[in-house]
Amino acid sequence: MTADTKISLSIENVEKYYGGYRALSDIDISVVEGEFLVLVGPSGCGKSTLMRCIAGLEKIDAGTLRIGGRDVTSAIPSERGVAMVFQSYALYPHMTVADNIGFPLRIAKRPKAEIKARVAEVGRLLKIEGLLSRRPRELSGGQRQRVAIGRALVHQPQIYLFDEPLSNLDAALRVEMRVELARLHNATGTTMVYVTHDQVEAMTMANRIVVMNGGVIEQIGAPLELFNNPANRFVAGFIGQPTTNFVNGRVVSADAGAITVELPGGKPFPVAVTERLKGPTPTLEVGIRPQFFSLAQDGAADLTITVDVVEQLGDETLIYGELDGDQSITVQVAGQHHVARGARLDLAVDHDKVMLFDDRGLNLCRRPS
Amino acid sequence: MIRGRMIAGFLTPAILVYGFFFLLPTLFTFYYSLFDWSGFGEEKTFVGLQNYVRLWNDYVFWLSLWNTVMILLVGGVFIMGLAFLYTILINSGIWGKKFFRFIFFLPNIVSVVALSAMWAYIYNPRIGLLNTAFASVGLEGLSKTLWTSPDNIFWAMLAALIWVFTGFFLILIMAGVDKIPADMYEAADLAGASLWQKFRLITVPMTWDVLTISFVIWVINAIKMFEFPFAFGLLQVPQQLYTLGIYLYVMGFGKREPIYQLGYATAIGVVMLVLAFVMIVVIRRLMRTDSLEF
Repeated sequence: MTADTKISLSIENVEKYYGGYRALSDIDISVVEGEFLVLVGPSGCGKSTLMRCIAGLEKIDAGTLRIGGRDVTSAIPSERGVAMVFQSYALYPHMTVADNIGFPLRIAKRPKAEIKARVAEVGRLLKIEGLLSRRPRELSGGQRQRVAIGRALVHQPQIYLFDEPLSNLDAALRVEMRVELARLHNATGTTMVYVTHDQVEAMTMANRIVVMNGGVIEQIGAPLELFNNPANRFVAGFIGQPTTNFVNGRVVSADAGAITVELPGGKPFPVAVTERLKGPTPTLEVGIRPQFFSLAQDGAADLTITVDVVEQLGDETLIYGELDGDQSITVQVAGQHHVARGARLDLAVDHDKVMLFDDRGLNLCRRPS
Repeated sequence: MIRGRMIAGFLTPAILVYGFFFLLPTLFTFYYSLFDWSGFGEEKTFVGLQNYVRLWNDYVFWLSLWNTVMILLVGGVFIMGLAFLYTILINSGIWGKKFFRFIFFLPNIVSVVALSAMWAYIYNPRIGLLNTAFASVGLEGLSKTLWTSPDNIFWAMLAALIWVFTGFFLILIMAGVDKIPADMYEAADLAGASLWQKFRLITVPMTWDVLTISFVIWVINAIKMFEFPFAFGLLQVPQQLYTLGIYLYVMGFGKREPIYQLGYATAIGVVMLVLAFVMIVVIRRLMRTDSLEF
């Protein structure tokens, strides 16, 4: 972040309680102007709560919220300069598309001619100008989504908030809308905060991702940074598809810059580490992404699995198997490989990509990107 | 074929009961209204539309009709208005939503006679709650009001009636308001909508179907209003409290002295039926709208 970057949204030490339950704990995020920030995490992690706090639909119990440098901690939603697209779209069923889009302007008592012109402009931008006289029930899911976005656009806010806006769409439409939203972000250049539980959406759309879990931030970073250098076991498991394999490895030796581990049924190999192990540890959790396996040549196996299921995807093959000791392993290899169920398969691991996690779940191998 | 027989089989008992206990008596009402008949014995004299001509010239009938229309319109405006107001207040996030809803609904589960006895005490000119309350806050003029005098008794009864019925319609309207998704209001909050704008642009249009049903139910209730004003009038219901329902009863069965003019009473019944029918058709016409999906 350079000195002249303008902070659009600043969330400082925010906490939120529901009775005795702490929904958000010590949340600290700065969003620069024009950034596409994605809040991602499993259900109940607090991402939607945080978004609702930013919008002013929920009050925070501690901390400060600033939008465009202005303290909006206790401002009502309409004074915050934000517009929100809801998961359910929240379109008014008794109003036409034009009335739905123009609703914020009507509330603001803008002249009718201005409302009409702005609605037409937004309609053109979102390619729904032909639907303006229809009711929401006459629209498809994707069209409703566009109307909901249109209602946010007409606000001309400082920040757009998207609360899982694609979760009600089918897979094909979701991909299409994802691209359109990215395009819209490029066109408007406005700050966008986007909540999703889908890590593919997060990876493909975000400038930066905030990974949340249990009301706390696990890690903030660019998509590839999170993929390559997860801070901990949770982020390593959440970011990346298929999910990271976690295997118990025996610690053979631990030096300042490297730890040598041995996987069940394999040979020991050294892994470069950036953190020191605290005290003697007989075993460590080894994280290996499915993409970083390869089929081992003769005698070079780091581990051997018994194949359970094979999925042919055409350009790649997903192999699900089990290590000795019933630990399941997913392997993603390029090309088409035919392996029989029950066969023993020797695998080699890219040692430079292996992650080691200590007993607190912290990644010991934070490599510079 | 089997499906058709099954449908017919399931519907027949209901149709028979409905036809025998509702449709047939309704048709007989029309028939009897053309006779001069006490309601007892075989002796009936066909008088054609004479009963209706008599109604047209009957001062008490017009008074009863006027009272009924006042209950329907004035009562309706207050009941629906208060039910909506209470709904908004109770739904505004205050403590004890269920408690207040129960309190407002309570009059509906208490016997009408008990309610009217309570209101008789409230309106009592000397020891009544209302006048005592007025006196205690220094409103001496108001505290001397004779609430049950011929000039005031109808409006005093109507005020009590509004209190009784508001709770029922509160429950109906609240059920309609509760089904509006919260994010509809949140989207309005983000746009900066005032309470009035949210009420006008979201709550009313999105509870339109519930409002229509509520109006229809109220029209039916108001036109056949009987028990509460009757009980309110205690032993001798004064004519100031007559509704069409009470007048029908009085003409059919009398007060202390039997009158037994069932033919004439059924003519009042026919007027009530036609009035209710016309009002319901008008309401449904005026409030017709597309069904909403949300």
